[in-house]
This record gives sequence, C-alpha cells and structure tokens, in this order.
Amino acid sequence: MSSSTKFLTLKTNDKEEFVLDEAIAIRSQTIKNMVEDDCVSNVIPLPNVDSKTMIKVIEYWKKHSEEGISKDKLMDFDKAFVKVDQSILYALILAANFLNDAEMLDMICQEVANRIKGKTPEEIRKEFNIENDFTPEEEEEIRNENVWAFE
Amino acid sequence: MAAKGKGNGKRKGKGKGNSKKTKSKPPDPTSNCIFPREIISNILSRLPVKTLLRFRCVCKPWRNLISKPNFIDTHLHRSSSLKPTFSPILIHTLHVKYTDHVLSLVDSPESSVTELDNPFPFFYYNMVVVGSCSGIVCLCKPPWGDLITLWNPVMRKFRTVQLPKKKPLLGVHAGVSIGLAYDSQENDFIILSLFCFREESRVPVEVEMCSMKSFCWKQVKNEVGFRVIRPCCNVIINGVPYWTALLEDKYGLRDVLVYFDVDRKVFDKLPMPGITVGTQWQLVNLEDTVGMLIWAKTVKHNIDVWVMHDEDGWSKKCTVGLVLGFDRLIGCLRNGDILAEDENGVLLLFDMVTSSVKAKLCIDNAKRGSSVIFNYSESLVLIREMLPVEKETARDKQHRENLLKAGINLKIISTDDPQQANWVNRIV
Repeated sequence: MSSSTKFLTLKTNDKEEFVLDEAIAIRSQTIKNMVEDDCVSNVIPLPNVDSKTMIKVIEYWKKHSEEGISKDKLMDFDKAFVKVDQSILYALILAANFLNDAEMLDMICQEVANRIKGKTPEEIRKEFNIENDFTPEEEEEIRNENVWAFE
Repeated sequence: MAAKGKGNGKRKGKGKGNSKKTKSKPPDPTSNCIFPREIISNILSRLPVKTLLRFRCVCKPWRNLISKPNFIDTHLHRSSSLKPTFSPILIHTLHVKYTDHVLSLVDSPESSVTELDNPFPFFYYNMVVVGSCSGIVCLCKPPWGDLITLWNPVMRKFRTVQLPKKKPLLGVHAGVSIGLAYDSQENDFIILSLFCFREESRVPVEVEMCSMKSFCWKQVKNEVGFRVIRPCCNVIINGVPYWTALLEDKYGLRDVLVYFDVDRKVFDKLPMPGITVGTQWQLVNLEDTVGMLIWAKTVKHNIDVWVMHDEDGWSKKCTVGLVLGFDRLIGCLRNGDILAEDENGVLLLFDMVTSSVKAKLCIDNAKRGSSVIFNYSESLVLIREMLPVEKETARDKQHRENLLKAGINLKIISTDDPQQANWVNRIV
C-alpha cells in the first residue's frame, strides 16, 4: 500500500504550497471528489483558504489520521485545537466548509455554539454582522413571548 | 460564497430608498453575515433551547429558521445524541412539607438543579411521570390515567389530551396504565392507554392508542395477551415504551417484557432475565438498549447490570461495586451513570465503570426517598394547541396555605372525582 503513496500539492490563496499525502488530503470531501473525478493536475488551488488556516487544518488532519491513536488522546487534541482566537476559529469554519470536512466543521461549530450560548441578541448581531430587521415593537413582542429566556 | 453575499449587500443599500413602492423582497439582514446560512444553521442547532428562544429576536431569518421543522429535527437529533460524559436528568420528587410534586432538571454536568414550572394541577396528590421522548414529557394521574398531559418543559408549553370514549369500570378494571411512544417516521407522538382488569379476573389488558396528529383514539389488538399492573410504562427507549407484564398461556403464567412496536403499531414480547428471590430490580435504558439493574435488598454495595441483545437475549454486562454503599438505588441514566441516594437524602451520581462519584445533587425541600429519575433531551418540539405553563403564582401558594389553615387534608380531597376537585377550587 505504502509503496504507492501519492502526494498532492495544495495551493492556498496567498500562494503558499503544501505537499500532502493523498490519503490524508482526501479527508476533505472537496479534494476527494476532485481526485476521484481525475481532475487533479499538479497543484490543487484552494482559493478560499489562507496558509495560516491551512497549517491548522493540516495539523488536525495529520493527528486524526495517526494510526492507533486513542480516543482519549484525540479528545484532548480536539479540546486544545479549538482553544484559539475567535478570528482563527471563524477562518477554520469557512475553510472546513469549503474543504467539506464534516467532522472538523461539526467540532468547530460546537465550539462556536459553546462560546455564544450566553450572549444577548445585540452581541450576536455585532459579532456575526447581522442587521436587526425588527421594528422595536416587533422585537418587544418576541421578547414578551418568552420573557424567561432573557433573564 | 462571501463575494455573493457582498453583492447582495450593495444592491440592498440602493433598494432601501424605494422599498415602499417596490415589489421586490425586503432586504436580507444576514447578507453581510460572516458565515453562510448553512453554517449558521449548523451552529444554532447546537444551542440550548433557552438561547434559541432568545436568538429568535436577532433578525427575521433567524426567527424563521428556529421554527422550521427541519431545524427542529436537527436540533433534537443533536440534543438527544448519546454523550458518554453526561446525560440530562429529569427528577420527580415530592415536597417535604406539602403534597406537591416537584419536577427538576439537571441539564449539564456543571449546572445545578433547576426546578421546573409544573403544568399539573398542584392540588392533586396523585401524579406520575410516564416518561419522556423527543423533548416531550408525559404526566398523568393514576389509577385511571386521567389528565394525560404532554409537556415541553424548556419551551414551557403543555396540553392535556382528551381521554378515550371508552371508560374504565369500577369493580371490573383495576386501573389504566399509560405509555408514550414516538413515531420518528411520522414525526408523531402516540399515547397508549392500557385498560387493566382486576387481578383475579386474569383478563389481558385492552389497549387504545391516540396519535397526536389526529387526536383520535383507536383500539390496538393485544395479540400477546399480556396483563399489566402498574400505572405507566417502566421505561421509554428510542421512543418505544416497555412494560413489565404477566403472560398466561398454555405454558403457564410468567413475567415477560412487552413493548409497543411503533412501526407496526402492535405489541410484542421479550423474555425477562432471571431474577432471584430477595433481590430488587429496575428496567432501564442503557445506551439506548433495554437494560436491567438487579441488586440485593440487604447488601447495598453491588449492582448487577444486565443488557438485552436482539440475538443473544439477556446477558450480564458487569457488576458495579459501590464502595460507599447506598441507602437507596434510584436508577441509571442512558450513558450508564448510576444514581443513588445516601442516608442524608443527597443524590450521588456514580460512574458505572470506575464507581467514582461524578456529582452530588441536592434538591431543595425534597422528601427523602421520593426521587424518581427519567432520561430527558431538550427540544423545540411542540404539539398542536399547546398552551404556556403559568408560573406557580403566589396566588396558588396562598390557596394552599388557606386550605391547610382550614384543616383540609389535600391527600384525602384529591380523589378521582372531578366534582370534588371543583369543590376544592370553590372552597378556596
């Protein structure tokens, strides 16, 4: 098996190139589809991912591809992996989404959910850049439907 | 994705001015959101219900998303997935002083016990928790299975279910046993009402079922021919209710386990494990399969854990040795954690494998020995025509004080007679 190890070159949007074992790279459904459809030339461009984020992604893929790694060790790794600045976390979400790695995407979405659990609607609008399209009266009405949720 | 979003944003800016007269859709407030819609949906589906109710007022698209059936399903799926570290617990206790039933929730390993606003009339002494599935809790009043109440505790909504036209007969029936099932194919809850005849008559139960889509009761054939002698099902696993039952056929009388096959809408039976004299047992949901805890009445240190497998039948999984011992075993949770009460009435949560104490739970004003536990997963699921649960108001508490002052014993008054219930109201 290992005698025919294939390598892929991934090129991020800031022109960095990463050479990666194909078996690891196809954790990304997007890359897997490209490989299966045989539309891989020498270099796979990743227009939506920068190199800083890609380094994290590859770190994750490599750890999760280690043979015989225990569940506990992976859990510890995952816990430490998501302990990053919000900006990195958000970039990772977009990368995981583009690369279509459901496992990584779910883990990071869970971390974001944990972080925003206690926030107010105003804080969420600001953080996610969402406009408030309710009139003050409409918003008041929704608040009154479930007053306890705002306590 | 991002580029597309920006484009929309610009167009929207222009559109604002003439929005009054135009036919076009209102601008999308999430067009500049840092995440595409599917990621927002993924993140939100992992949040507690309370947070989601609050986030309904972030913007209109979020409000709409949170009430979409698909989203509610995904959210339920995530909230009810089995987590080895912790299973949420619904605890039913009696008040130490009054006859009140107290229902509490422990929803995360760190969080404390939260008392819920119970929709059940406070003056009824009889109330059982039938069980919970898909975020809906079923309550009723034994022995006749009255006031069947379906309740979503975190949404604080409930409704009562009209009883079947068929009525149990005093002197003929011994009681009515209630069960709750969830049909995931149809997205429908089913109430089962088992009419139990008096023990000496040895007549199998008669079953009626009611779907929460049609609200019509219809008869279910009891082809197994079993009898039941308890007010509700023992346990609900994956939306399937199980009862311990008696079966008398040409091979003689024996204990069996019966369950309602939700797909086929019929009852079927399973064998029971061997239970020796002098032991106590409890049917439990262990990692979403049927399990049983068996322990000696006298030596309160060891608990045998049995599980049922489709092919092999019952087999002993392990023996849990609790070094400290326990005063009363309460049961176990879906993830295998064992809950027992110590001599001070404190609930201890033990790890089934290591026997170590994972948490201590203290419920205010709970009567010792009254705790019953249920697996629970919170959800946004509602049933047609549910009403908000009123907070137990000061008014209700005043009512009770007045009754006590008048020397009226609520335990006696709370009969099965609705006229008497009205009468209590009138006195107050």
